[in-house]
Amino acid sequence: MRRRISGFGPALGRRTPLATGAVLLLTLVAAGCGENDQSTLAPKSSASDQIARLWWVMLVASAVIFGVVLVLLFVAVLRRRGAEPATTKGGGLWIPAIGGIAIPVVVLTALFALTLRTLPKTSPAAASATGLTIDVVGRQWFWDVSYPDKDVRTANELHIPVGVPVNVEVSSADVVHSFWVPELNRKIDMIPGQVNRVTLEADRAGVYRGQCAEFCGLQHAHMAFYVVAEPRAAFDAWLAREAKPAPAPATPELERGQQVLLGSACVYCHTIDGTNASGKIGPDLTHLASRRSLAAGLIPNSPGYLAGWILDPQHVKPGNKMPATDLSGTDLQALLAYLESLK
Amino acid sequence: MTAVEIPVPPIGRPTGWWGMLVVVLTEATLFALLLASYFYTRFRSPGAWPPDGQPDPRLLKPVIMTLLLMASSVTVYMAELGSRKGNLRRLHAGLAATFVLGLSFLILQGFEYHEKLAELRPSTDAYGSLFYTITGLHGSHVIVGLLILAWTQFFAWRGAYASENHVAVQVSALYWHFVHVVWLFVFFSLYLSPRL
Amino acid sequence: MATDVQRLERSWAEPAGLLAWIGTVDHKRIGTRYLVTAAVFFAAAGVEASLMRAQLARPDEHLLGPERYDQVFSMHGLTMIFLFVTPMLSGFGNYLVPLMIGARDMAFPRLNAFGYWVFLAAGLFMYSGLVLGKAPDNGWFNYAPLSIQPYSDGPNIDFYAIGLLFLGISTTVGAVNFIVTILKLRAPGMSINRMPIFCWAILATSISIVFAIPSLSVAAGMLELQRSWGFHFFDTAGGGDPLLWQHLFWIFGHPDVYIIFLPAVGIVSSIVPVFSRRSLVAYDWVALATMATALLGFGVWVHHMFAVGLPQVSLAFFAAASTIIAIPSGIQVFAWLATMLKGRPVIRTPFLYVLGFLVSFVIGGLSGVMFAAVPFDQQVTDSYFVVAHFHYVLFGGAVFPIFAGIHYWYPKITGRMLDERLGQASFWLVFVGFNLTFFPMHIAGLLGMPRRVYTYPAGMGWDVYNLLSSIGAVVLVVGILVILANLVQARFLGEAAGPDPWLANTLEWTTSSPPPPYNFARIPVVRSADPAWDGVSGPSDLVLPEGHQTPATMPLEGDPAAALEMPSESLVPLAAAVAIALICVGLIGDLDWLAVAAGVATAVVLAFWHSPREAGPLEPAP
Repeated sequence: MRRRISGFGPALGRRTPLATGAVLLLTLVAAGCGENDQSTLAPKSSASDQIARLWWVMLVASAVIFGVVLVLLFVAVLRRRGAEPATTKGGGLWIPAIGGIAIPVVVLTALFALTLRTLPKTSPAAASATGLTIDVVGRQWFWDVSYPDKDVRTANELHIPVGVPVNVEVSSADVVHSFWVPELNRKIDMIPGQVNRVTLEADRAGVYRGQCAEFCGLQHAHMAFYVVAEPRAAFDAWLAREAKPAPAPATPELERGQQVLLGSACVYCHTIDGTNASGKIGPDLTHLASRRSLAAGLIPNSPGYLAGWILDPQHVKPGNKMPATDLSGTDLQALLAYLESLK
Repeated sequence: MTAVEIPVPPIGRPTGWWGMLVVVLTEATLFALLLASYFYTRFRSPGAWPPDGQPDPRLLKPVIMTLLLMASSVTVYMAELGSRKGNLRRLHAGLAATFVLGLSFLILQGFEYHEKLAELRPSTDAYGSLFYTITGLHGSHVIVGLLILAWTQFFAWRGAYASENHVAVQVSALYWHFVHVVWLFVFFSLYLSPRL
Repeated sequence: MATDVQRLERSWAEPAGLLAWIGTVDHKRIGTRYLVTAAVFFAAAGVEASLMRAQLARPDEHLLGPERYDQVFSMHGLTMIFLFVTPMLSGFGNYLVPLMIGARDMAFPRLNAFGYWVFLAAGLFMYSGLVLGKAPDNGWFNYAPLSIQPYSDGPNIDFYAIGLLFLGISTTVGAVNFIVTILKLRAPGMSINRMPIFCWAILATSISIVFAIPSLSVAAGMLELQRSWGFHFFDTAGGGDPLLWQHLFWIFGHPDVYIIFLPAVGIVSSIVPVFSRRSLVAYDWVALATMATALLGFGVWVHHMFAVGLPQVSLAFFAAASTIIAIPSGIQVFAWLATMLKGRPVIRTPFLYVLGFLVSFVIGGLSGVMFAAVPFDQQVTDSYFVVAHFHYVLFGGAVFPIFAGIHYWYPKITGRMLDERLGQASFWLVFVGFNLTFFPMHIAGLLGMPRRVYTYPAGMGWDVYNLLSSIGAVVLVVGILVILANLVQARFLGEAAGPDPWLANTLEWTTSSPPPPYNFARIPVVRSADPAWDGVSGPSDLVLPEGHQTPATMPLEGDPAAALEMPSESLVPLAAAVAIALICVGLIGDLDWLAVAAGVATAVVLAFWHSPREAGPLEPAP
């Protein structure tokens, strides 16, 4: 070349990448210790544990391979440099033969074998091998959850008994969604006209967050849900409560609140079992007060948030399908009280 | 300095022929995928096929249409042979016959559509959509083929295709053979296979 | 001989004036047009990316609401894939392939011009949607039924479907041109196993395009028929199936990533030998690996659909195929490493970008292989982990080589050298910025952050990684601006390059910088894969000074076959492109009369285009 320029050495010190890597690894492992975690690396079931293990094996193998390539690169560029003449000599075929064929064939075969072994552990178990079936229908932008055997319908929340394989059957009423609870298992798409299945079996009690994982429109980002795994007795009690119709209003204020609800547009979309409200488009509200969140995991389930949601849903979740409801102060209070009574 | 001799007359196929070949491959892939979509939709649908109580497509016109296209491949081959050997009468006759046969195909298809639209429209269901899309896209390719043939015939009458320079006839023939072969697959898939 | 060259100059001289400039059919000018136009679209997509990173820098941010964000992320993907990276690589192909094979132009120069005008028009068509606030907003893969009524009512998705159908014409004719050029216009003696790997790459890419684009066209055509004319393909109510869209899209979509990747690594195979001062190790294997990748690319599409509920046997088959396809890429990587190890590398900016490519592509390739492990895929697909993966293989695997190619061939195209220090500075900024932007996304994805979300809640453990990505994006943009500054300053202040500043091995470096309109005064004769190094390849006595001619040779052996008459500048390709553009405007504006009239106009222009030329005896007989 016409000009000689200074060579180049490693851009970072040798220790910096290692330290960074260690910190990152610790962060990854430490994640998944809270209720709002959705980490694939904090498995709470055997299925997600299998996948996490598969990940760690692949990460180590990848790091080794990457390390080898980096070393080869460094060796190549740190050698004596020359400008001319260029050589048209042949040879060197053994390098792509070993690095490009022999070693990859071995590594990839091992990977494929590992895949074949793990696949059955994350695939849906036969329905007869599970203890419970839950139907989840994806809708823009909430989760329509029902327990078909028990005539229970709720929204944005699944309860399952700990240690019992649960057969979740998913579909969609509109566009493609995806049911994903990383701490419990892989994701499964919810496709209109088709029923897909996934098995959830929690090792221990806890609350596990899930989120829609297929772009489904304006509020895809705010379509989350919770899976509550609880001991058998607690689960049975929950299911029994859910199976009951809504409690009749016990006070005049609650009576008033029910009337406000039945007299407004709410009934076109929502169902409250035991009343005339039987709309099927929106979430079932029969036991609204027992749920952890509103608007599919977007806001906490408390009167203040509930009020804001009812009065102006578009402000909270722009583009969602719920229209605003205009209510006077007293009507609103009564309605809130009634809704809070739907435990 | 090395001497390079360009052969006279030239050897090898003309670039225009290669170009049309690639175009034919990509268009054929279009039809292959449409037919694959047809079979995919069919095997994903529960129940009878055609669905919704539709009868199997009637065969009389399509069989005649198939024979017409088969004959037209022969006539366009004659035309190409004619131009290669400098036999202009054969060239003109072949091109004209191909055009007439192709036009007859389209006319018959028009009658078939007229009859069929009374009971099945594209907007009826996926079967209707696929049927009309596939046969309609093929029909459009026939129309384009007729335009190509007419344009080639026009220049043939003006004496443009001496035997050393008839790539246009070759290319028109190649396209026309493609139109014929695609029809055979369409005929089999849409008209015969529901009866199997 | 001197008068021969003078006659050659006269017959190939391009007249001055605006119309001649517009109507040029010179592959070098068309190639440059592709490069510049693609770069403008790159900037647009970069702005879109910057908006996204600004919105996602912090949780619950309000810079972009969902409607705008959805259009921005969709246009970012569409622009990068369809309007930047493929046309940019097409631009390199256009400029370089005739030069590398010793020809004077592409096989079909007017078709080449047509392809460019259609690309420009299709890009403007799609961006007019954005200008109207009605850009496609369902992502670049646009799943049904979200893409059809009643879930998508405005013209947004029509801009998508019609735009891609229109653009597909450009991509297809480009492929036709490259295939015929590479098979028929190589210099005498350039048998197919002596042509540059970059040409193998363009050939494999073009064959891939021939079989992949129809799938996108069928899908987009069906989509438009469903949306505008009430057909039923993707809705269950009408007896259709949403998964049909997914299959058709990915049968195109997966080969598309190789359509992007193969020319880019063709650039790498051009640069590595030159800067290693050594012939490419295992040329034959690299050529075969290129073709094998293109072929295998058609057998893996279902790995984009591992979560849709397919039977286990399908999952296993496509997992196996997806694992196997890693091998040809591995062969190429180790062939490059071997060339560098056995050579004596010289570090200049093009080579630095190649090193950056190698590091990034290996990371992206490794994460890609992880996706072949189906259960792992089923956890992290549709999360930021896959966003990280594909940016590592697309930015790392294609944009780094493009930047390398820009620094390598700029001297050939303009006759001036870029500044080496600015080049190296740009590399480090781009390399650090790129990794800082995209590496944290692996972690965010593993921690459960889904993709295509316009915002995310605080407290999920995702905040710091998103912030790092957004900071990285700033560094990356600065690096790219440095490249731009270098390109601009060199145009006026750059050192004269001369024909061969890099002492390279391929034919484009044996002519002047920039090359004359006829590329080579004397047609070269080629005797090896490194014609500028082997000491025996070189100019022949063939000048072909009459008319506007280049030789044709036989597809495999490269034996002389004919002399081809090339057309001169013409406005007909532009007219054809405009006519088709008007069809598209008629379709999207619901103006049937316009669509029909423009259709007729298109037929008339095409007929005019395909009238026989005067020159009789030059077409070969069969």
